[in-house]
Formats: sequence, structure tokens, C-alpha cells
Amino acid sequence: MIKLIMLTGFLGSGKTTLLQKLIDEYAGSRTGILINEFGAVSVDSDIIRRDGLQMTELSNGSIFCACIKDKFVDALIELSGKDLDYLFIEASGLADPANMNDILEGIAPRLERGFEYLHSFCVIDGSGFMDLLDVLESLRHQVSFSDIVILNKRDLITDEQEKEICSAVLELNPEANIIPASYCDIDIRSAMDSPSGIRKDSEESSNTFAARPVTVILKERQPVNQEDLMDFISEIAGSTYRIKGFLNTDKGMMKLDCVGTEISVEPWNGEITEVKAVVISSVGIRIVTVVTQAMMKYTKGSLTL
Amino acid sequence: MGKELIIKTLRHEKTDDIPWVPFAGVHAGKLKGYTAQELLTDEDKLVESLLEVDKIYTPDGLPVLFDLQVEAEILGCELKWAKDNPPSVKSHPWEGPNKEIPCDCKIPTEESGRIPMILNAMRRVKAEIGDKTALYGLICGPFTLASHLRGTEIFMDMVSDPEYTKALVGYCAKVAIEMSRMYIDAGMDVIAVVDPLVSQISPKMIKKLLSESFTAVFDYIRSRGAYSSFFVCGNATKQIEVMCEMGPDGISIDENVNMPKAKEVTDKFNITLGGNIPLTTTMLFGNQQDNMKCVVDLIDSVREVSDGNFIISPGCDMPYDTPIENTVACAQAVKHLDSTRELIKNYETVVDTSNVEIPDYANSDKVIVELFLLDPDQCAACFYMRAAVEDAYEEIKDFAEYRVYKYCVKEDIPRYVKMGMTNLPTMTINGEQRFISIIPSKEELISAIKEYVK
Repeated sequence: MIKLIMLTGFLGSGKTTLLQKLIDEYAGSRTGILINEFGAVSVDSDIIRRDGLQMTELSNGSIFCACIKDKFVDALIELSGKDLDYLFIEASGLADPANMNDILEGIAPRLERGFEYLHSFCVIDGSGFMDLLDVLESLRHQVSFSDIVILNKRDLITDEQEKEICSAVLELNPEANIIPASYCDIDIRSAMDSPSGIRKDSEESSNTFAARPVTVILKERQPVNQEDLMDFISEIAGSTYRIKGFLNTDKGMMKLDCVGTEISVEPWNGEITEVKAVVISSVGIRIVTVVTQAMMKYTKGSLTL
Repeated sequence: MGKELIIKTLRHEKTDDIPWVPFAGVHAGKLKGYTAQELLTDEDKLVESLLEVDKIYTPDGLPVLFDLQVEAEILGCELKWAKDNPPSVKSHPWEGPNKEIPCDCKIPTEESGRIPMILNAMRRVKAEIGDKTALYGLICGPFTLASHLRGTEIFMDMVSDPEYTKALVGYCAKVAIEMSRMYIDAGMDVIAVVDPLVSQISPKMIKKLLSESFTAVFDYIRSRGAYSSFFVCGNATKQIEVMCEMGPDGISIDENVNMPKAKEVTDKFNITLGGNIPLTTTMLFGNQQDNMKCVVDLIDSVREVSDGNFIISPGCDMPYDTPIENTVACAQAVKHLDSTRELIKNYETVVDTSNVEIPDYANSDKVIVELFLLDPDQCAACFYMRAAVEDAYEEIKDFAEYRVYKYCVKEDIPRYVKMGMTNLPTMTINGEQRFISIIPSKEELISAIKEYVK
């Protein structure tokens, strides 16, 4: 059996960091990675690419939504034929995994080797979790259908807030193993070796077409001035859940990794597939107006949609 | 040069001349003997016809393809094709109780449906005449596209499920943005967002459910360095202000709207106004003098309000059979205004209504519902008004009957005059104008008809 480990968590909570740690920890094993991103551009794959990894990317929607579920199923069937010990799946930040057991059961007869659904990690961002919980059904399901909940960004919250979050998590999932951490710095082996406690039932995934937030892709006509880029990002960040990708500036290639108004723009020296950034809107289609107006104000023809 | 004149006008700069944009959609095919279907599906025939339009009508701006069903077809609507009209939508894949939003994977791309043919035609026409003539890429507006997908239920959704309506229109705005992107990349100078149905919705509802989506489309077009124009059909008098607030560079209206009054509104927002030579009475059935007089009167009336920020064009897509000489007459009047004014100074237009019989409503056994439409195969608002009656017919047939008149049928025109129709489409019940440019929901319609049952 191939051991299957699911990684869920809202946009920007730290899933990719956790995935990098898992990959490094299991560097000696035969490992497959399936990355699911919400936007049309896959950004994480550039960040975690390693030699010898079996990588599959599914972009443009959640793997649990009918829009690309068929591709997810095909990918699982194909991966079951590979010589793997582990398969790590990084679901998109808005993925609702409530129907994962149904999916695995449904495809069981078509698999070359079966999957053992060992763990589902849900990474939550301690600083924004309580605000988002009431808004996003997918987030409630991510917590409720995981057995290990990593309360990440612990350094950004108080003890009181930690207590509040833990009781909210336990209310959704009384069996959850909650691990507080910063930068997903946890004892990977001990978490992986803990007994599996994933719910065996399924529910309808809330990932329907209607629940999809609007995304736009920023492209570049010419390298953008670094300061203008920062002004531009600051202006639009409040209207986004997430901004993620790579853009070229007068100071070199930058990696954008913003969660709401928490902005991170850092130099990037690794390889990249495309100079683009995905913007996931928290204001629906109005993001187009917000972005185009900010472009006219700050980036003066360097950026385009 | 014509193109410069259009661009200056859409930039709201001062110009010496008034630009002329004949909306030769399917009519372009007539010039070369091709049917509407041939024109709208065959790249070579389309290019050949457009070059002919450019030659004969000397336009300053030219639409490349006038067909609001391109996007709907890609999204799964079945089309009914015609020889002398653009196709109409005959199935609505998202109608029914399951309210869903289409997947983003269905948004048109360079490979979808007729897009490859359209993009090639655009590039070829751009190479031939793009230096001197401004080219218009026409896209289906988000609300009309939503109605194509959802059918007449969209009108009920607006009341019963505003969030869903907003999400569906938002999705259609994403389609509109993608269409704009492809057309701008193919060399279009102006993107016309054509949304005839906007005139059927109250300004309050537009602000609540539609404005954000339309604004996103206009902002996107501007961010790409192209110009936008918002085309609407029907009596959009009340909607013009809210349309201006959405931020297009121009607005284009048809004969249902009083041009000078509309100009007063668009001037407040410094937006260019285009229109509104009557398609049927003047362009299709009138003579050359009617057309010249119409253009001269139109220009004079608008100039009384203000100079500039104005484009002369037909109210909407020109009828296929518009006599070529009538369009030439319009071009002549725009380009040589003073000499044309002299030519037609004593000319009057008369419609003979002596043969029109008005039904005896008072003594009729059944309530008589009459639909006064433009061309229901071409005008989306007319199509949905007729569909509203057809949808309700099973429930009203025991006590009501309905009749359909079309302004595109010459013999029907005197009836419009005698019944005092000033705005189309209009629905009368026992001779009384009950729904003017507004499409009632099934419940509203049945209840209105029941008021007349004896």
C-alpha cells in the first residue's frame, strides 16, 4: 500500500512549508507529490521542486470540486501504478476534503496498488483562524476531516487566543491532535508515527462552482520598480485572500507571498517556470477594478492582467 | 483619418468632424451576397464583406462581427441560425432549479468555438484597413450572457436570489474580460460591450447586482490601453445615468431614447454618446431622403445640447436587407452636413394608418395581449418579452390570447403609429400599454392579465 498523506489549510497558513519539511524528512523514501493550486498558475511547484520527486500538478480549481475532480481521480490512479512509499497531497487553500473517503472508495477497484490514507494534516494560521472560521465552510471541513491540526504562527498569538482556537478546533473535531508551532516546525516523525485518526465517513464537499472565488493573474510587460510594486501590493492586499507568485523588479526576481494584508516580497534565486502572480480575490469580480486602478496609479504600464 | 477621429472622440477631445460608425453586422454579408450564417462562420467571406463595407460606406469605425451569441454558443447554448439575422439562442443550459455557476474551465479561449475564425478575421482586417479605420470588437455583455445561460428565470432570480444572480453575472464578466483580452490582442481599438437587456432592469437593481461586474470589464479594457463603448437597446432613458457611472468611454443607444436628453446626461460624466438612426422605419423601409433628413435632424438636435463627444451610428445592428443606398445616404449626410441639409429642407415623412383595424377589446371574449416588438430574432429584449408570454401561455390560454407584431415587417408599422407606440418592446393588454421595455416575471404577467378577465 502507498501511504497517503493529505495537507490542507487555508491560503497562506503554511502548507507549503510543511510539505517542504515532509519531503526533506522522507528524502530517502520513494515519494510522490500531488500539488493542487487554486489559480491557473502553479507557484508552489517551483518552490518545492527537488531531484527525483514524482510531481503531479493540478491547477485551476480544487481537487474536490467537480471542475477538476476527474483529473484528480485520473492522477491518483496513475500514481497508484508508480513505485512509491508515500504520496503527499497538498490541497489548494480553499479545498474542502469532506468527500476524500468517498473518492478513495470509488476508485479502489481501478488502483494498481491501494492507498492507505494515513494522515490528514490541517495547517491553521493562528492569527487569522477565528475570523475566517465563520466565513468559510471549507475551513470548518478542513479541520473536521483531519487528524492532525497544526496551529501554526503560534508566535503571533497570545496564550488566551491559543486556548480559544483549541476549543474551536476541538468543537469541530474532538479527536484532533493539535500541535502548536511556528513555521511548521514540528517533530515530523513523531506526528507521522502517531496512530491514524481520520474520520471514515464523508460529507458533501462545499467546493462547488458557485463557491469559487475570483482569481486574476498579474503578468509583466517589463521589470517593475520595486518600490512601486510594494505600493501596488499594499493597495490591493486588503481586497485579497492571497497573492502568490514571482515578478521581476529593478532589484531582481521577487517571490510574492501575501496572506491578506500580511505582505511578503522577498528576493528569489531559484528556478521558476513563469513570471506571473496569482491574486485570489476576497471582493469577487471587483478585484479587477481594484487591481487595474492600482496598476494605473503605481506600476505605470509595467504590469498587466 | 477616421480612426484618429474615433479615438479623439472617445478620449473626449475636441474634433472638427463627427465620426460615423455604421453597424454593418449581418448586413455586411448582403454587400457580397452572403447569408448571415455564411458571414458569421466563414473567415474569408467575413473579411471580404468587411472590406466592402469599408469601401462603400467610408466608416470612421467598423465592427468586425456583430453576434452576441458567440460566447453563449461556446458555453453550451444551442443556436438557431438564420439567413438574414444573427443566430438566436434556443436552449439555456443553466436553467432549472439547480442554480449553478459554470466552471472557469468553460471560459472561452483562443481555441473555443468560432473564436479562431474571428481572431484571424480581425488580424486580417487590421492589416488591411486598421491604420485608417478604428476597429470595434463586440462582446456580449455580462447580463445578456447570463440570460442566455439561465433563460427567463434570471429575471425571477434577481428578486428571489440576488446573490446567485450576482455570482452568475460576475462569472459572465470574467468571460467578457477574456473575450476583451483576445480581441485587444488581435488589434481591436474599441471593445463594445453589447448588453441590450440592461434597459429592462431598474437602475436600483443594476446598481445592486450588475454595476460591479460591468465596471470590472470597462476597467480591464482601459488598463489594456483600448477604448470601451457600452451598447444598449430599448428604452434605456432611465438607465443611462447608472450606465455612465460604470465608467465606459462611450455609450451607444437606439431610437427608443431621446438623443438630446441622453446627451445631457452623458455630458455630465464626460462620456461619448453614439446613436441612434432608427433601424427599421428609416434605414430599412425609408428612402434616401428619409435617411439624410434623419441624420441631419439628429446632428442638429444633439448640437443644441453641446458639441463633440458624439458618434453617429445606427441604433443597433443594421437589418440585413437595409438598402445600400440608404446607408450611403447616411454617410453622405454625416460627411457633408451643410449641403445635405439644403437638399432635404422641404422634405416630410408620412405613414398612412388608414387601413389599420384596432381590435374590439371591449367585446372580445378573451383578453387580448399584444406584443409590439422590434425584431424578436435580433433584439434580445423582444425575444425575452415574447418568451415571457409563451412561458405563461398554458396557464392563460383559457381566458387570454396573444398577438405578435414586428417592426421589421413593413405592413405592421402603421399599427405601431396608430397605437401610439413610442418605445419598443411594449406589451399591451386590451389595448393598454402595461409593460414598456420591462419583461414581467410569469407571476406578474398572469396577475396583470387576470385584471382584465370579465
